[in-house]
Amino acid sequence: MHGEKHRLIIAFLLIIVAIILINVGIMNGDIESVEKKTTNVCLECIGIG
Amino acid sequence: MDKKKKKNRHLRLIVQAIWTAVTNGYLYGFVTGKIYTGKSKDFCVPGLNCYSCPGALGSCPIGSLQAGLSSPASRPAFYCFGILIFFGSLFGRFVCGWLCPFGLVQDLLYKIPIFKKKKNLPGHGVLRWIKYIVLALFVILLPLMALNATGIGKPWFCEYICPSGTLFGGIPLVSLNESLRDIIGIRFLWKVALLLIVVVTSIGYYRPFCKYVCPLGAFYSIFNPVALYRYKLDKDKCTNCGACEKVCRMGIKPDVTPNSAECIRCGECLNACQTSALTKYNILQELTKEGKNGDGK
Repeated sequence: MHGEKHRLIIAFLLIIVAIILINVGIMNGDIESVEKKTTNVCLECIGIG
Repeated sequence: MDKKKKKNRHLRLIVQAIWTAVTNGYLYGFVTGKIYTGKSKDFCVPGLNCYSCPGALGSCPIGSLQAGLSSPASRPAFYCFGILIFFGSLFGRFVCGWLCPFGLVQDLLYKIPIFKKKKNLPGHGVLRWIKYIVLALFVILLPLMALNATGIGKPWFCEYICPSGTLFGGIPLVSLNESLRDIIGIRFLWKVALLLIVVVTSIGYYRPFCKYVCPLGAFYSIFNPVALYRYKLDKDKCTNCGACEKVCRMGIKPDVTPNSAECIRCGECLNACQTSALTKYNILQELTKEGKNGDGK
């Protein structure tokens, strides 16, 4: 029971960390960088050049 | 039990197919040969889904992570790491088993009735560590550190390895765009060759890319022991009959490590268990239950 509760706490802590990171990334302008990349064809990805 | 097993397998296949269709639902892209550029591309889907696929409505988390790490403006890619940790903490490798388009492709290839079917490649115990090297080197270190004169890196995994990108992005775009066909070179041929190797291997061996190469699977595998979606083994009910190990196509012993890093949560072991010793972890039940720890580790 204790092992399962510890895992549950770790999972929730990780989720909180993830939400913090996502918000820091958004404030940092990460989304714009991702958008710039993902709305253009990635020539390297499709093996061109 | 066979009916239940079939039902679970069909359900998983249906979920995989629907999810792949929904996340790659921009059918107009397959007509025009142009990728979707709407706002939903800001968001990552959980599976390995190339954003250069003409139908892709979201972004690949591994591709986005490399894009974030390779650009000076977005290092160290908090947003992408956050998304990956979020999916991992919730689902672990459930994404691999139920929500990854390239996982679906390999599942379908394994159904083709040619070649003798085997679970693992020879040397499985060693080969399965390669995916962690791919994650560390091609997805994180090289995009971060191998920079050009202007300080910009490139997506090494996407560029040199990803067969999902070749299948869903490269081949459709090259087929639909004459201008791209005119400039394909040796790297395209290399990636197609890699894709062919994965395709042929997947017919005889179960999900070789997921087991040995996929960096996304490697990342999510770290969360398998703690993810909110995980399995539980009741040692009091387990008779060590070995039925779960027999049906597991990822080469795991679920009666020993039900939350192994290799488990893609296909659910075959749950259906095979005759005593219901292996079950899905129920958070509410565990928090309110008194008694022995049923973890099985």
